[in-house]
Amino acid sequence: MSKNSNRVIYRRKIVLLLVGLDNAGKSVAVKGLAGEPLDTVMPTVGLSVTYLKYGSYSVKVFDLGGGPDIRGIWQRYFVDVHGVIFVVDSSDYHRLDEARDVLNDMLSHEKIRGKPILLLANKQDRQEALDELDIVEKLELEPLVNSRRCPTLVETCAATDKSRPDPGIQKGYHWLINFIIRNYPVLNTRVEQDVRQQRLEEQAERLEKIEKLRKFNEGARVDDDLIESYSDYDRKLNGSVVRDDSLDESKDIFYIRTDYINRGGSFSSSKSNDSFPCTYHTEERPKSAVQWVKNQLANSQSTLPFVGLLANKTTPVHLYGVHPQSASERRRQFVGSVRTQSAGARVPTVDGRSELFHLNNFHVPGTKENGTRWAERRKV
Amino acid sequence: MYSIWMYISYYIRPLIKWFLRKTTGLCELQRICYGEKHGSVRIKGVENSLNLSRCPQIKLLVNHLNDVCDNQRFTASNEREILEGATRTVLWVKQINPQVHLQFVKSFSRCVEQIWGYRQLMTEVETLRTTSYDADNLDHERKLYELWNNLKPDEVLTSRVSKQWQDIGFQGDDPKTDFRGMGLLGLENLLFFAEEFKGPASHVLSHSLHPHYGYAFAIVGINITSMAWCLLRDGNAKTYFYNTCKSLPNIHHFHQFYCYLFYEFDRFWIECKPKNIMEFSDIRTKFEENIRASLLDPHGVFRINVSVDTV
Repeated sequence: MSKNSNRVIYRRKIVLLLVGLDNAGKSVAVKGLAGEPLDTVMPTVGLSVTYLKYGSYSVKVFDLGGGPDIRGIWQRYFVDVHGVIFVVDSSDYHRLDEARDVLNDMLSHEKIRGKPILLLANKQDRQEALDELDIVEKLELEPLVNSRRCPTLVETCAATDKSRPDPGIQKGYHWLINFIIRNYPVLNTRVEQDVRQQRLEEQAERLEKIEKLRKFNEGARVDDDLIESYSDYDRKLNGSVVRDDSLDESKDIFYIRTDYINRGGSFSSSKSNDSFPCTYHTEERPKSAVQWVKNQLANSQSTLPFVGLLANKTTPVHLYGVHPQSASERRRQFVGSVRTQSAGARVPTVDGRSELFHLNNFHVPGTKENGTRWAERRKV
Repeated sequence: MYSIWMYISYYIRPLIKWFLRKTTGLCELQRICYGEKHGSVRIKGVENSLNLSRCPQIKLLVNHLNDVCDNQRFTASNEREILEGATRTVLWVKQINPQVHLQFVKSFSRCVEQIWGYRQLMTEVETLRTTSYDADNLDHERKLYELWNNLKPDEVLTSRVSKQWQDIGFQGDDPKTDFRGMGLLGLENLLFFAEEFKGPASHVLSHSLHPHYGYAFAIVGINITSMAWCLLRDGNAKTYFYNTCKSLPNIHHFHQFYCYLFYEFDRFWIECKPKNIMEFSDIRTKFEENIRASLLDPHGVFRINVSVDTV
């Protein structure tokens, strides 16, 4: 066991962050480093993680998507990383300003400050590509990195070049990794500290959330079945959650007034509940319609079968009382009535003397006995 | 181990075949065609049998058909001719009387149609994929506009390069860069989905705009294209195509396959309740595993289940 672990551990970890605008060539760059095929590289949704090896170090590259909607999530990864690779499309000068802003935002983040940056001026194979000096100037890189104290290297490259891996990327990558290795103790303690801190913060946040939720639940300790009033819903929808005070007074709560039903008149849905049992006697006002119905049921039919099993709370109440007819029962009833009709026409009910008699005598009018069945008759 | 098995089967297989031939009086192709229902099992059996055949004429036939399909010459106009030729060759080589085995003739030619239709589909899809989106090509541009019109019928696109593209999940202001990797295939897939499955497409699009579980519709769609393409290339999708296609498989069948995948992926994604878009690659991998597993079932047929569409 110990032997094994001695052999396995000490592959130290380096984490790199690969960012840039969309379509800058980030994924192609990292695939080139990893030696994977380049022809099917698609826009990255979310992130893709690539594992590389560098000497005795294992390198993990977070290749983040560059779309504008995803850039907000970048900063969650800032704490984990030892260094940053920023890729710029040097042929797309309309978006260099955007790239500058993004780079500026990122470097202003305190978790990135002081970490090494590799800037790749990609797509040098294109005719209209700017060279590194122009890029540095356009991005206003010098004052930026100096103020943030980030060691920076700018490399030009053409990630999709056939003679891959591209020498520029290789060179930059070696520089970055070597820089990190040289300063590994410092950088790594910082990263570990940050990660620990973030974890603590997250934990605190989660606890706070749980606490909040608990408080909220306590404050609003109500029946699940409670029907939300419209005004309450409206208020919630419009942002200002003031549920607590409205609940205390419970003035907005919708409830069914029993007198309407007793009169059987103006209640809107009274039509469908003609046979509604009105035996509601308890003093306290019901909290909700469903609770009210439950009370009703408890009062009117104490021997109700399987109330708990009837999962459908919306079943019309009058169905609870009536025992549902099974299909076979219904069929039997139907068949029975049909048979007695036809058979009854033939059979004299008075005697039932012999079968021969009624078989021959078709026109003897019989008094119908509803529900009596032919088989029973035969027995007699 | 594997090589030993190959070695054994290389010699044993003909023996078994000979034995069965003598006892049943039917050749292997006939046994497959009579023994299995039409569908992926039969077609895969026939495909396997033809590819393993050591008869020179059959080998020649297979090569010829492969050549035809790789050059995309297997079209509706000459389909009959090709199928007849192939069937006649097999009847002649295997000494089968077509008057007696009329059923075999029918089912065998249907198998041939599917097998080489699939192969041709692979070429066709590959051609589309390697055609990159060209902003100067009017046809490509028209398709892009159509995609917009189908997905956002109520909204007018203000200009070709516009922030509005981000509403349907492209990354930048100009969608052309997002088609990298999958080329025109990604666009055609999306367009087909938006055109032919209007209801599901708008359903999926509205999911993609969800505040918590939202994702970028178009680029996820392009990722799904790559998944569909991989499944087609690896041959895993054969089950689907062999079971669903009633005629020569063509690009529409591929589009339908794609639509199914996209729709199911959307459902899977929402079910997973991801924390943010960063979980995409994990969920995508999991989804692909599920799909591959369900494609292993030889009777699997996929249909878009639109029942939840009213949500």
